[in-house]
Amino acid sequence: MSQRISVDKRVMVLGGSPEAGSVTQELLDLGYAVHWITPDAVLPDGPGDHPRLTRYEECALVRLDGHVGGFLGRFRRNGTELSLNASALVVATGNERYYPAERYGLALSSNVLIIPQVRKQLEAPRSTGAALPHRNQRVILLLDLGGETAKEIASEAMCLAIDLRAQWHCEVYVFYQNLKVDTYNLERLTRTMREKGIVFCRYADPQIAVDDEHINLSYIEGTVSGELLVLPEAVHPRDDTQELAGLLHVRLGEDGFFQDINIHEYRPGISVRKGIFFAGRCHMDGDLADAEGDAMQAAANVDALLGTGSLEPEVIIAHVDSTKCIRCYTCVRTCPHAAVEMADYDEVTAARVVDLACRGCGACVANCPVRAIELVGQAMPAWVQSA
Amino acid sequence: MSEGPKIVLIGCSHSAGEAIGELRSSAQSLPDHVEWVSIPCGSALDELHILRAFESGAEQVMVLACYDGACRSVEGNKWAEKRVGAARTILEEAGIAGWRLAFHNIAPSMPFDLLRWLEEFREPVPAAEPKPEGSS
Repeated sequence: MSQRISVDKRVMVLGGSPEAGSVTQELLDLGYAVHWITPDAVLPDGPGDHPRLTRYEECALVRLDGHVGGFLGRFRRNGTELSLNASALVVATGNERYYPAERYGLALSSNVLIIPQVRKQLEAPRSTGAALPHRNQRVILLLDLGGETAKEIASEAMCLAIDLRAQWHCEVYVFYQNLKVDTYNLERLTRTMREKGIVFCRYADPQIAVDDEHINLSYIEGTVSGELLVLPEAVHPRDDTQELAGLLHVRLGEDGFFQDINIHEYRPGISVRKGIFFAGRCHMDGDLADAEGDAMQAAANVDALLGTGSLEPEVIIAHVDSTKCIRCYTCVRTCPHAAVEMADYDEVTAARVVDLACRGCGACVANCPVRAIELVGQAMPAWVQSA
Repeated sequence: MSEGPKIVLIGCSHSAGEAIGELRSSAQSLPDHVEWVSIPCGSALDELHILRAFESGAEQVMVLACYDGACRSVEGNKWAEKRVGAARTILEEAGIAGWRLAFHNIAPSMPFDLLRWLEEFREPVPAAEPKPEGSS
């Protein structure tokens, strides 16, 4: 039963995030040919020209056929169709940022700003002669308002606090509820912040009063008054995530990002479908360094699958008896790994399990109403067969 | 090990199978009256497996599957639980008491919970009738 099938060492990377660039670079280094495809207008900084790299911008997936070892992606690009082959696929579409006005209950104004606005003021060239609007002022950086701030945003907030202190000599108070500094970068940043005299305050049930000149934040330990309130943005899945998940036949997690279920058996980044992997912030909360590390892991996962240049079915796989099949599509719908499809046999059309994509779970076997599917390689005691 | 009525243990190889492997690595084993049947995933469980186990002379059958969210194949544990429910209905129609069929969620790290479940797997004692008032 077990036969090795040689496959191309060619991978599709979907997405225009920085981690997509990292996956691409790592795969090129490992000797793979890569199609790097993004629906966005521009690809981020990443690997430059490389003989094994082809880049496609403004190119959206419209259909994915085939299975591990032979995916066929159909894309739309400037109104024309484009077909690309690959043995595996890495999704690294990243996430999207937004200002959660409802969750915060605060409107942005001249002294209530989000991090990028402050960053822009901070980086405005001195030569324009513009006044430094918040120099020497007291700044309140309010994290975790109405829910945890994403790690990548928290790390940007920390960098901003350090720069405000160093460049504008601001007095910076960081308010937080549940600040997780479980990555090397974040821990290092918090230490630097404390060394520079930035004050951390843990709060609950804040009362925020904003007028034209002052911001008063009252919490259990008292009231802090400042001249500038800086708020972090929040992240949510990209708009096209749901559609993409449908095209790839993978499920989304409860929060709408790719895959947060199944983390016990399938380590994060490995999807229910063989040959489809996730990398970076399209499936996890993390800062850029985390996403980078996750991208390396995704490339390693691809290499673990395709490294030998050949694929082999698992020991236990399902097999359809085409003469018994009644074409009810129950197995096609049931298979959690999208490994069953309708196929033409010699004389009939019937369900077929794609050997390489099958994980041997047996869901189709138990669900088949006419018992046309059996698990090959699965030993059962004699009493199961004979009544 | 202790003697007892024949118990057939049907379980997912990724959770129950690993737990039994864990048991062996701590130099223990399943009791002799327990027959272990490994299936690749809870979703591969068929009502027939359970019914034929009883036909083959088992007194009791225990089905083991992963916890929610831990299944390799997304919902295998839920399929298994559903099939156990269906099989229990059939058994009760045939006059076999429902308690003879048990279902548990298990993780690879739970070999000793499994031994305890097997130990406790017997007919439930009916709740004591409340004493009539005034009697001493």
